[in-house]
Amino acid sequence: MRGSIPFLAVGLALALALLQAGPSLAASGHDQERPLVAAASNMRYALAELTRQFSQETGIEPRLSFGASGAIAQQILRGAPYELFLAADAAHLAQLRESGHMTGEGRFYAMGRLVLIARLDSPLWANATDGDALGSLAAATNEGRIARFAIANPQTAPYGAAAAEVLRAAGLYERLKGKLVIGETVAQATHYALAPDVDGGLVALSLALIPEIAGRSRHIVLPERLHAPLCQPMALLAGAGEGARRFHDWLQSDTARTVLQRFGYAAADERCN
Amino acid sequence: MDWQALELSLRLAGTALLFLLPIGLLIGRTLAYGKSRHRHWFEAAIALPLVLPPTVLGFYLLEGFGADGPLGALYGRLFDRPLAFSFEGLVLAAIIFNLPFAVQPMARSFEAIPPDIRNAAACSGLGPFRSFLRIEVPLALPGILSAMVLCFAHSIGEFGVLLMVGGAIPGETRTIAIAIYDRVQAFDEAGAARMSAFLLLMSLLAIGASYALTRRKADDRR
Repeated sequence: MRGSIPFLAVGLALALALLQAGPSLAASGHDQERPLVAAASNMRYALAELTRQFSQETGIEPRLSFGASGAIAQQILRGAPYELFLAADAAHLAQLRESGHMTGEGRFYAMGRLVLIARLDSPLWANATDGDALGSLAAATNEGRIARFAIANPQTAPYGAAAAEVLRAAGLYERLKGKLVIGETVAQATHYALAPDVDGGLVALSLALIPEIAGRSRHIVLPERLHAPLCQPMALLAGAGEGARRFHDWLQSDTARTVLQRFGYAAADERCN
Repeated sequence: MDWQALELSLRLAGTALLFLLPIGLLIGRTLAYGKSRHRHWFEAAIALPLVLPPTVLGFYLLEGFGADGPLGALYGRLFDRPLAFSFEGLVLAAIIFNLPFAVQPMARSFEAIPPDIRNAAACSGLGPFRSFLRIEVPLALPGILSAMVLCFAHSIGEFGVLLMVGGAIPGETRTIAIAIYDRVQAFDEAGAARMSAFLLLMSLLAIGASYALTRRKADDRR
């Protein structure tokens, strides 16, 4: 009986030691050198490269947190301490502007593109024509070659809303409705789109270009006229520190624009305003 | 391997444990020896996190912890920082979702102590507090220890509640379980596989140790 009291003592001591070893509980306000950035999940890959280059230039290392734009906006409304928000659409920023969580107006930093994607051996490609994403999808749908099809959640993810818009306009939505696999974010939808039992999906070009994805899939870019432009705005949030401000400005530089282009984004143009 | 996330998870589990031990002892003992006719409802309320979906629990906690929520607003006024999306918020969430894991094993092992022994302690002149420390706690130790191991492992493994209450802020609220999800989302399957294997091994060791301790106690008693 007495033998196990030391166990408890050691356990408690360990817990205490861990507490002491970690940074102090209260010391996590804004850190100039490590600003906290929240970003829509379509930016996952591009933003990793952007922060790498930015850190090399300035020594500032942004901390990144990804999610669906709608979910991040909800978090900010409830007091999440993000300093810069790279959203996937303007609707969610409007909400934050009204509630006073934003400083300034926000800037469009990129325009995204939607692609039809599927793994290389998907039946979707059986009768596909290069350059005709919608025609290929319509053919596969009408010939019953699609059992499951992935898009992001139209309610919370702008790429999901664009995907739903495309499917509706093409008259495919009703036919695919029971077969849709809904990802919480466009990154998750991309995962689903390439899963063994799923025959394809409509996702972001920026994710289709990731080497791990590009290596085992094929994609066709959709014409921009098929959906409302995917203008992506960013905004400094109330309480943003100097590091966040510098990153915000740097993201509008030519260096950043070149990187964004390489990852499948176009520069934001007048359609965004 | 995301060491920062692992360290955060261990720190979270350790901190929650410091609170859960006294809370569990107090509530567990009260439930075991209490005479109230309504204690079943009290016990049911504590067991709720076992049956509620993490999303429901996470939703209510977020409502309470958010800047506009009652606890979040109070905390913000006191410390000038949000409770949701902070480490402290995660600790509070971990205490709540671990309550049944702390209380139930402890209550069961307090119940298992024969009343004769407690009566004998009282007859020998031990006050309630000394009787608790010298007689009850040593006898209930297997239950207390396995409750602590379960809570520790559960804190490290919990995902849904922590994601909803904490976001996924690196170094602040991105625990190891959330980091694994994040790796999968980032298409880094090798990274996710490494961390998952590590967590699997650690959980097996923790539960195995808990069972071994309980078994040894049972053997001691024979």
